[in-house]
Amino acid sequence: MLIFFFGTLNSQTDQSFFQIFSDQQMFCFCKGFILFLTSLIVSSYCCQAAIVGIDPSLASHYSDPKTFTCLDNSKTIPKSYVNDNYCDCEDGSDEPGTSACPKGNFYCHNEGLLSKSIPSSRVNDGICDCCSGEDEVSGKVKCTNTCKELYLDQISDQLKEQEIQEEGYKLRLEIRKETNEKKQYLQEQIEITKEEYEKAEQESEKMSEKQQVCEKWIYAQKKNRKKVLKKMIQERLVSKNMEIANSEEKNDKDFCFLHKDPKIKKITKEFKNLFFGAAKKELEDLKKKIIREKSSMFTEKRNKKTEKEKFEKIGDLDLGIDNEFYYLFDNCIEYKENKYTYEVCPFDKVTQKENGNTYKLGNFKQWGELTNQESDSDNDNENENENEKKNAKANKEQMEFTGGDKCWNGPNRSTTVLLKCGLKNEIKNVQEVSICKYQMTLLTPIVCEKPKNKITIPDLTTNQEKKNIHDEL
Amino acid sequence: MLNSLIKHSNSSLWLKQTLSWNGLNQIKRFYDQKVVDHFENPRNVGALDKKKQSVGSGIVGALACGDVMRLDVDIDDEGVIKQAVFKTFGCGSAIASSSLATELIKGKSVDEAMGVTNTEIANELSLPPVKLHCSMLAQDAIRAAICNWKEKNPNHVCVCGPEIAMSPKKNRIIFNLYLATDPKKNKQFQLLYMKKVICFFLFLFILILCCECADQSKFKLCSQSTFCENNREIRKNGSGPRFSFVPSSAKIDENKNLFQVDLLRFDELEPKLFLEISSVIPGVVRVKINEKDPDLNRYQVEGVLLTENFNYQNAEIVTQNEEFVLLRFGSEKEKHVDVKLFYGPSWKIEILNSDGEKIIVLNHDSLFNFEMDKKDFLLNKEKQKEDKKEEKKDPGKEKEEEKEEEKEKEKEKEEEKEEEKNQEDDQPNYEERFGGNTDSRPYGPSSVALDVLFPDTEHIYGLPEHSTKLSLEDTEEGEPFRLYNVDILEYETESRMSLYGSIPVIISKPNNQKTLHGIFWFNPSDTWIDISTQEAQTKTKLFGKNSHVSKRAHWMSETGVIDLFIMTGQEGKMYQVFEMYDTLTGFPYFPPSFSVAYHQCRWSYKTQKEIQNLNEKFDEYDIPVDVFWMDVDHTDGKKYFTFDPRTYPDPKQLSKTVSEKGRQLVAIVDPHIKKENSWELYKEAQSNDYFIKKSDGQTDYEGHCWPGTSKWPDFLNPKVIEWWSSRFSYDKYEGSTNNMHIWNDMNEPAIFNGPEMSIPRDTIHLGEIEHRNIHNSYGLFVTKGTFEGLIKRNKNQNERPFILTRSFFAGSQRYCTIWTGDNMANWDQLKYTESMLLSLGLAGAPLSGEDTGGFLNNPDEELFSRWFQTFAFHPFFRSHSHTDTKRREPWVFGDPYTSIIRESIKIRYSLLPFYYTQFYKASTKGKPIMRPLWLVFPEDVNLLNEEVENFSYMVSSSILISPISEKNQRSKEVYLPKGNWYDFHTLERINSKGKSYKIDAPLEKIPIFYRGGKIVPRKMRVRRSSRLMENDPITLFVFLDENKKSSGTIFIDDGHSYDFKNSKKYIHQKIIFQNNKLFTKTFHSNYDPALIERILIFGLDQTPKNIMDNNNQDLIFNIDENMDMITIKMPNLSIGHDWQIFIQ
Repeated sequence: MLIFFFGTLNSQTDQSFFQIFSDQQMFCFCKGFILFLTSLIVSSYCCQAAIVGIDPSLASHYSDPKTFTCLDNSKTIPKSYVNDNYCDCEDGSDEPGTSACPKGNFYCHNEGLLSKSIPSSRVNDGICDCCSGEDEVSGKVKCTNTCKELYLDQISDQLKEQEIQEEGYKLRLEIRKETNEKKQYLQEQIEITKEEYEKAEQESEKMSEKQQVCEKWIYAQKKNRKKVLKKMIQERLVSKNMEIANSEEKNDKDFCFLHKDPKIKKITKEFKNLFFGAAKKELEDLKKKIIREKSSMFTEKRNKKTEKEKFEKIGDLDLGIDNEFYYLFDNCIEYKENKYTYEVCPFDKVTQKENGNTYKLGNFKQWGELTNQESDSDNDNENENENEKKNAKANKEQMEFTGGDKCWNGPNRSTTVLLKCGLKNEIKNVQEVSICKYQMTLLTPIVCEKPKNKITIPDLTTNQEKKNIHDEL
Repeated sequence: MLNSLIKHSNSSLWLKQTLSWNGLNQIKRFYDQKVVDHFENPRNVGALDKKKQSVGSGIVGALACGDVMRLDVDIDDEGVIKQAVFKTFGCGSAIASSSLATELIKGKSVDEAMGVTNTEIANELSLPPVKLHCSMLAQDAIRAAICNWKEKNPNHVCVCGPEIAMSPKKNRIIFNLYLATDPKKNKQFQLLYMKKVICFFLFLFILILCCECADQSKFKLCSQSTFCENNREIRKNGSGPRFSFVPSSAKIDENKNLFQVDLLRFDELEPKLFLEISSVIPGVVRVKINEKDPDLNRYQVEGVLLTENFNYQNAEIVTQNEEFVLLRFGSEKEKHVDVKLFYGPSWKIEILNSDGEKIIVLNHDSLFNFEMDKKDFLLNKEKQKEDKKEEKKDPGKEKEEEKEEEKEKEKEKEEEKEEEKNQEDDQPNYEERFGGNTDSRPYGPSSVALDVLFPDTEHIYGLPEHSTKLSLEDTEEGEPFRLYNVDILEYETESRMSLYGSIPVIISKPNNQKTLHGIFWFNPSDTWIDISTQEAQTKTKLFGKNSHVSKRAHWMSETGVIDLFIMTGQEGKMYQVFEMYDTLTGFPYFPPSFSVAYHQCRWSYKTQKEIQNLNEKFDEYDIPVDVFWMDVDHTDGKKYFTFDPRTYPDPKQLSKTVSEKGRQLVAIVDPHIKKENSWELYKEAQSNDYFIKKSDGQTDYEGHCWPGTSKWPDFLNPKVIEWWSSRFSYDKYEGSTNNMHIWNDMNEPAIFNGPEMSIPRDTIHLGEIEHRNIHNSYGLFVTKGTFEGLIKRNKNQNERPFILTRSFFAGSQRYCTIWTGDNMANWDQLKYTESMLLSLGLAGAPLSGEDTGGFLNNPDEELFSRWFQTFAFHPFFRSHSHTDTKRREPWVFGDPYTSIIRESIKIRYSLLPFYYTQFYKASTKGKPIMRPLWLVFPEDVNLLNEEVENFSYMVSSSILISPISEKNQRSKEVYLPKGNWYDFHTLERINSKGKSYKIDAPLEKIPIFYRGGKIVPRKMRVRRSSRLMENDPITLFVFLDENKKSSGTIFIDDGHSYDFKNSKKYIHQKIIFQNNKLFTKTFHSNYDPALIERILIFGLDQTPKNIMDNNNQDLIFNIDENMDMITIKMPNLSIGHDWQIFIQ
């Protein structure tokens, strides 16, 4: 360890490279000097940390005091080549602390709070990428240590989130209870509406039959009357004709044209009035009445059918545990942004209104992501079976709406609705992610989860104290 | 497919209609349902009685544009529109727009109706951008109708007076074709249905015309341009009007630098023209022909030539006789140029180099033409008329005696007619109609034309901007090349139609010579050029018959003077011609270093948030980027110099956010000014009378562009340039910052409803100059104003501007970078881009690029990736896309494509020191950055072969790029001129014998080679933006040629200021390898030295024992014998210091 320690020291003096040693390293250097005088064990702690930018999980690879083997095993180089601001290893592993290697990574320890790995190209570029500022030691910029604030911010965000989750989860349970109660009702409704529909169907069939009978009767009546009329006219005519025939001795042929005789016409008219005036109206009224009844019957049948279908659809939908997503059914949510008004009706459709124009942004297609094939083809019938299978498994955090109005030079509009936990149903944002493809975030309690690991406010002072103890050692 | 078929089927109606069946589905997809609805069921079709006092009628549009609209309104006493009806001939959008317009205005008051805007209509119908003009037409129709009513009811003041309103009389025919019928008449249902069917197919037909090839029909063919047709006619007839010089008038002026001689037309007594020859800088001959009468002197645009650079050469007459005069310009022995002028009758002028070889011959084929002014024509016409009258009178006399009474009546009529005629005669009709627009041409025909012969030359280049092959093709079989700046949305490849900009420069490469000559036809008016090949057999003593192939360019300009600069190159100096041209018109500007890096654009990033998001996303995907672009939508209602407060509430904050990562913004500023009385900028321009005037010279010209009704500042007026530039100051351009730069688009100027999508030629600029005189230079002056504005906005005036322009002319290189406009995402365009940019480079505009990925349509992953791979090597590297295309930020396609794109961009960033040096060199020497191979290897005759030439190009003379421009192509035959070449990716060496090699081109890479003998500086630490790489160390790539030699230069400065110029703060150093020694030659070193972290030497063919610097310090190195590569690790040297390295 000690040898290595001086190794790094030598490399500094020999080659006068800039930007090698971080504050931390210098800190280590001083500290190391004291430690060297006091304790070897502690110095080892220090010097492992002395190689700037290594991911602690890889620290063992850097422990050899004389040589270093690139992590991809491509070559072995003198230890002094590590972090000498020159890239020796193809994989960048010899320069964890400098920007020399294009493929390298720098590990921000960030005081153990929010440690992360960043590309080497962000080391010493004048931008503080680590909250501790350990990536910027060239002096180009002075970074303020923001780790604690950042951490606390993050924690407080997480706490807020957690609070919402908890609260939302409670709501969800309540909703679940309600929907569960409705489960029976829904099941019943499915049955009831089915029955009702069947009943209505039967009735309308009956009505059809009735109408047929009725029409037949009317027809018969008409026919009958016509017959009677015809008969009467004929009778009258015969007598009349006889007269004419007798008087004028016409040919048989001419007989056919007798009805053109004004006198005969007059007679016919008289008879017609006699037979059809009031009677006809009566029959017509009757017919109308039947038609009216029949149409109302059909309307009812239709209503029953839609109702039945609605409940059948609900039955087909994957509504999650205890039908909890029934909560979103028939529940349209509006959102205004600039001149646009968006409306999401879950399980139904998404629309966008602008200056009185309404565009459909998609009909509900399924839970979960669309495969590429699906999103490319507008054909809704394809892969239906697969979809059903997928629906069963699909996560309930994303709803896909497809087949909306066509864009003038693009695809049919479509929308992805992401469900996120919130205390009430509201749309958080709308984005047009690519031409005519929308993405919305819908907040709703129905996706709130019970927080698994409860986050608590960390005791940062203890961390610090622990450090202090080390220093004192 | 449909598209291309139609374009190539020579307007076969049958084919188009058959195709339209197939196109049915496509069309339905193109349009919003509302358009189709309004088209199929047009509301309020019909016409009202125009004689009625309460009826106003307006007709707008132009048949050739495809749309004519008549809209009648019936207005009651209270000024409320009782009824509105329309008749429209045009495509579906036009019919739908007018149908909707009538719906909208019914029941509205006159004032309200005047307020109906095209955007309202367009939004309602969701009209596609290419159809926006339809909605504008509807808006105009409303206004025209109301104005017509107001004229009848003069108690109202007419405020609109649309430019394009026409009297209905002129367009009678149109309405016979009118499409929509009244659907309410039930009896005619059958008929109507039939009509609808026909109508729909007509609609489809027109729609295809409108959408697919409207571009073609919107722009003139030579045959539709009187002067082009006439001058071509001259060629067919053999020669133009005969002129000859007047030998007695020949003289050299007092200053001994101008030779002058009069030019006399054969049928005239007095010479009306005179010619001037001078040499304005060594090697450049200027030939100018103008009218002699100073009152008739033609307008010559100022501000294009840099007259301050002129260095007139001494002119002397060497020999003179009756036949010719031989002039000599320049006293220095080897640099002088001789001009041999033959007096005529078939006059010609030969330009000879110092060896007496003919370089260029003017008027070789006597195609010279100089249409004199109106008076000339008036005289002719009057003569003709008098002749005609006399002819008529004779037979009339006999009849007179016979029928006196009738005759008297006839006479009266005749007199009336004659009166009419006379009225017409007073204003002879030179009008030229095109596309429903009439050009009044009050000054009559005034074209100028001249043929220029390039003797013994097979290849000539230049005449940008055209999407053709680099070597100019013969045009005898088709359209000439045209230079007339216009806005073409979907331009075709292999077309000689004019595009957005023009540089009237031809560069000639004489056969078997290592030099280039050039001519610059200094005329910014509408110009056509016919190219042809002439073969001549000559007998030589030694070799018997010799065939000489020569090229001829026949220049034809609408007006102006003949002002020709002939730039003569000397043998062995390939780049001299560029320096000469740039001395005349200016060296390219030196933009800030960020502009060399990658630019991300889209029409449009609609909100500030979107750009902030991009700023993060690029980092997330580890893709470097320097500039984010803000297209038209960032403005408040398309009022440039403003930000939309809803979408860009805090542009300064945005600017700050991106600058934290060393990044920049570019905002668009177009030259059309929205006509909005409440807008301060408009008011200012209006009150100062800064706008271009209509042909009457009094009222402002109004046209339509993005904001709706707009006006165009008269950039010919120095005060306007001054005013325009003042608008860029930080306090006036609120929200702008010093890391926000400017994009000038639509500066042809583009006008949606103007003739050929531009401004009418008879509009008037300051000093009663007709627009036709200056058209092609308008864009140049816009950028000049912008350039001055960006200089002035900083107090110290020390910051270098970055400007992008679409329209350009000779001289534009001084102010801005050029991009090639609205290209399309297809392989063909990718292919032709290279030659477009190469051509621009040869014509003095090396800083250019194209919309990477193709502006229109959606590229597939492969095309998009290939596009990035080659475009990463173009001088200007920007991705841009149309608002109707799918998103295509580099990460959209996912891997492997994202990785390919990332890699391409990173390669560009690693080459920034090299590119920046090339930019500097271009700005000082005028050398093209992208070069055709023949320019770098003039001795290699194979390279003039078309096949080879179009396959690869060079960046400077160091890197060869061979683009892959075909789908699924995975390898390529790449021609490598003789010498050493090093694969860019593998660094393997090919010692080429001057032939083609098959090079692999998997999806991940395209063939790229370093040239042996060149040193390329790179920065291998690629960071998020170029500014963050400023202080990073440099890696030198030293590629040795067969003689183990190599060299390269590097330029370093602060990258953004004029300090390099004003206080000479820069480093310019040459690095040379020879005799196993790498050493520097410093031209100038007065800036922070840049550390060298690594030197790579390739092709040494020997294993060095040790490598030492000039302090005898051993340097650490290692050798890769397979690659023949020596790597020197951290040599502790800097660019800016002098040093030597010895290899032993």
